[in-house]
Amino acid sequence: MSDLALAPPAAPSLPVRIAARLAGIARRSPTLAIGAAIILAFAIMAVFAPWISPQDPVAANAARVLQPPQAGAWFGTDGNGMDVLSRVIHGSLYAFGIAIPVVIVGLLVGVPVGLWTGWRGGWADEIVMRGFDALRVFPSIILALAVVAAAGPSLLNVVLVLGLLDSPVYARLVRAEVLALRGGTFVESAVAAGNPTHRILFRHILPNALRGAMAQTAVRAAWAVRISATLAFLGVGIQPPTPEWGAMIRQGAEYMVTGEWWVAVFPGTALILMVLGLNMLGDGLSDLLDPRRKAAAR
Amino acid sequence: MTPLLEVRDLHTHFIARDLDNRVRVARALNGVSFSLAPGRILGLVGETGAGKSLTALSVLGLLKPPARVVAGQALFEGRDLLALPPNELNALRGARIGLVVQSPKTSLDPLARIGAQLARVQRAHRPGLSEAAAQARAAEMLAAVGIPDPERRLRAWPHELSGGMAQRVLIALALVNEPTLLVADEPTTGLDVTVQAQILDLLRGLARARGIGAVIITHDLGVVAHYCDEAAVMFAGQVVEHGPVGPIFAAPAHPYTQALIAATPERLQLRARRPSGSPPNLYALPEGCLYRDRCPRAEARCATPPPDVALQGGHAARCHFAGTIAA
Amino acid sequence: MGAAAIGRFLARRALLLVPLLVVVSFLCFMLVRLGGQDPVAMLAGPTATAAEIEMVRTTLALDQPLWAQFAVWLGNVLQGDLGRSWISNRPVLTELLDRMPATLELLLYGVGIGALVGIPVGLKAAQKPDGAFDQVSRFLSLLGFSTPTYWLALMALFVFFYLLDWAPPGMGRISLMVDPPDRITGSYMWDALLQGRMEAARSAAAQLVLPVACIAIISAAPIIKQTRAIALEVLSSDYVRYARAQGLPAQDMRRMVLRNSMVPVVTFVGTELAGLIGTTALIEYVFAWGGVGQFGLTAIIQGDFAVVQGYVLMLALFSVLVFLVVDLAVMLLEPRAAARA
Repeated sequence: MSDLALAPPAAPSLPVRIAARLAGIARRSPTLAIGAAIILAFAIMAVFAPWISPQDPVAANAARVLQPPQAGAWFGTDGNGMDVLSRVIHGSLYAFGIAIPVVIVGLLVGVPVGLWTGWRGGWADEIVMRGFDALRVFPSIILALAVVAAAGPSLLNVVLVLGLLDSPVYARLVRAEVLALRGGTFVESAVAAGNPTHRILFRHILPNALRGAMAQTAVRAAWAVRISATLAFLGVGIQPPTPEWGAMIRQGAEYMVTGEWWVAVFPGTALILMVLGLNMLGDGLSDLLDPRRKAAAR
Repeated sequence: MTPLLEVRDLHTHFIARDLDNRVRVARALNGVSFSLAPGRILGLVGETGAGKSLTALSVLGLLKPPARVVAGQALFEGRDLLALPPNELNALRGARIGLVVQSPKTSLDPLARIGAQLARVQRAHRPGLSEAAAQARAAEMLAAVGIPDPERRLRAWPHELSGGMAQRVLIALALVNEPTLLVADEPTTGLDVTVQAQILDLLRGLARARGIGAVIITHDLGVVAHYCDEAAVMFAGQVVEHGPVGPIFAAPAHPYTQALIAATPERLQLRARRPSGSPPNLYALPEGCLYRDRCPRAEARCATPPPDVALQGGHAARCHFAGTIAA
Repeated sequence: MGAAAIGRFLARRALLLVPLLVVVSFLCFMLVRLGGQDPVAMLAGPTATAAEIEMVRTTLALDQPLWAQFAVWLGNVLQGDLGRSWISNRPVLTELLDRMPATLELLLYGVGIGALVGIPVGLKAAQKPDGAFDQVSRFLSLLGFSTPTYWLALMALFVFFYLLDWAPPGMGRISLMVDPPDRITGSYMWDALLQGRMEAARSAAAQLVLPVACIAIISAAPIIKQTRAIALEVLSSDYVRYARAQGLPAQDMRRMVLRNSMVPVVTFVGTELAGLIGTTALIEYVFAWGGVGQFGLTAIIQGDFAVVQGYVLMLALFSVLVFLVVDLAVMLLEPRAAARA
């Protein structure tokens, strides 16, 4: 008995504390919570696509062409008789399958470039930055389209081109961080302690610089999903009957003026939800990570 | 005589929720009380974070969430500013009460000429005043704050002014409607030392000449000694000692005031050499005397709230030992 | 600000732009060479003999080193020669210029309406951050931000043409039943009005409604978001805080916030205008608008890189021009910028 009396009051268990923390975050930024929920739902859909799809997404059926939504085909069927619901579910695989590699390519190229130009400065920095300025003059959609078309519209090229075109975003962020940190005391003391340059860059500056870049990844992923779908809609990049949302909207476009709306409306809605979720996630993250901005917003 | 401004037991808290969704309260002001007679100059002094500026913002109704006045009164000419409807308080600000702030250059509207800003504040509080009359008065006011060639300066943009010049314009803005109370919040921070003295001389001269009561907020005891009639010393959101400047400097009664004065040889500023120790954690204030963790004389009874002990000549200190200890 | 000062400002700005334009045109030049396709074979056509191909190669200087090719190409561009379409064999510059007014018409009306709606909404949202109006407008702005342009256009056609029959079919700039007016400005609506042909003007205006509305929605979303952020920053500034201390009435405060928000908002709308000329191409594509955007997109899809090159270069020049105009507007609006210039 005396042992019990001396025991400290029971701390809340770990799941309870995690739940409380999540509730706190959700209360402070409902945007973040909703965005995260949407993306989680799509992620689950993508992972389990083969099991939850009622039909094979590319199984044509001439007997069931352009059926409106009904029991058994909740989203209707398209011009090839393929089940739109199954195709929409599989589309999430392509959305993640493009967005994630694009972000990775962007980070892999942008972060080292930003580190290097920020650290090095001088003419190299000047040339790279002027190049980025020049890229900004082109509307991003048209530039992406033209370069993908020129490079040859394969899935790999779409990923590489979008990633490369997006890398200046990260490079600028990282470069600005490096410039701000370079004069800071902890870098000075690291230099004074005899640390070699690469060690300072990767041990001390990179973790700080990455934080800003990571906060951007959700918004950049939204951009990648949007642009890659646009490419597919225009027939550059992924081709029908691949169950990709942009390509599906392309297939459904002609039916919009004849009344078979479901072929384009459902993939379009999925696309909007996914991009919206990523944008909300990104907005919420930057609100949460940047207290100054939040304070100004209050 | 009724005081011009009397602040009674003012409490202001910052109320917010943290990431774990718990309400967190920072008790920034914990019972601020002082009073100011018409035509007198009060120095509100203390280290950074003591709540000096927050006191001014609370009294003037300029707080922004999450800061909130939770208790207290601020009687201005007998009316409680904290209980006034927002529009009535707004009508007093800039008319009966003038405010001068630090960072004068960023406090002027960057897209309005000096003359336009001076005319705007006049016409806001005096309906029917013509633009020409307001401009004429603006020029007079610029001359009164010592700006040469005022007619030409009316057409100047804020970015064309030096820091000292901008501060003079702010003083002109604060005084153009003939207020009875002037609040100057760190009016010389960021200015050159020579300009600082000019600005303070100007403020005191104008207050004296127009019979304006003034509160000068500063972290510089020297400013209080040279320019003020009264002093109120703040620590951790309380006025721990107040009274006429003479007795306070001659015989400080609160250990914190004593430490302040000891750490200020001549005109050394508190920022350079402040008494050792940090202010208490506003999220978890101790019971009793807030200074006791740093106080060399702390005893068991300091764990109970100290009384305001009245000494001679309007001098008072919030300390169990006030009057019994010498500097 | 005198005309001389404006002239000096523009001259200096134009000079600063020269290196940028060289880099930009180099990027455009490289576009064709990126994919390793042989433009010569495309140009000469499938039935060309080896000798013909060689002749084309020499006339285009494609046998020279890259920098020399670029010099020749840039020289031609500076003389207004953007080459000929690989498909129609017509001069690229003429093709582009002929279609430019149709695109500008869509873009300017669309972004204009987007700004007229978006700026007041953003300002209103900033008045009470996290209030009901702010929450709703923020969500709608995010939604607009996330909606694919072409899908919005398709939905508009489905609802307003197919279901409600309020709008004409999305097939060009004027009804097929109506003869287009003679070309004066290049805008069917204004040309028809100028020639007193009310029927044609009405048809041209009706064709404009849906695409312009789509661009307005797409452009309003970021304008709302940015205007709100700018106004919030102004509202938290020292001078607004000090204006409150001066007891200025709400009306004065509003005017002050508006004036001080305008410069960054105008700058942002300018960048929007430059960026949305790309988005407009998608709207044109869905509505078969026949502007320069649809022309450029079709060229991209068909691989007509002579046109793509010219189109992309023209977009870049348009952006640069817009930025120049914005800089000028800022200089006129903002005393500090004028002092710097």
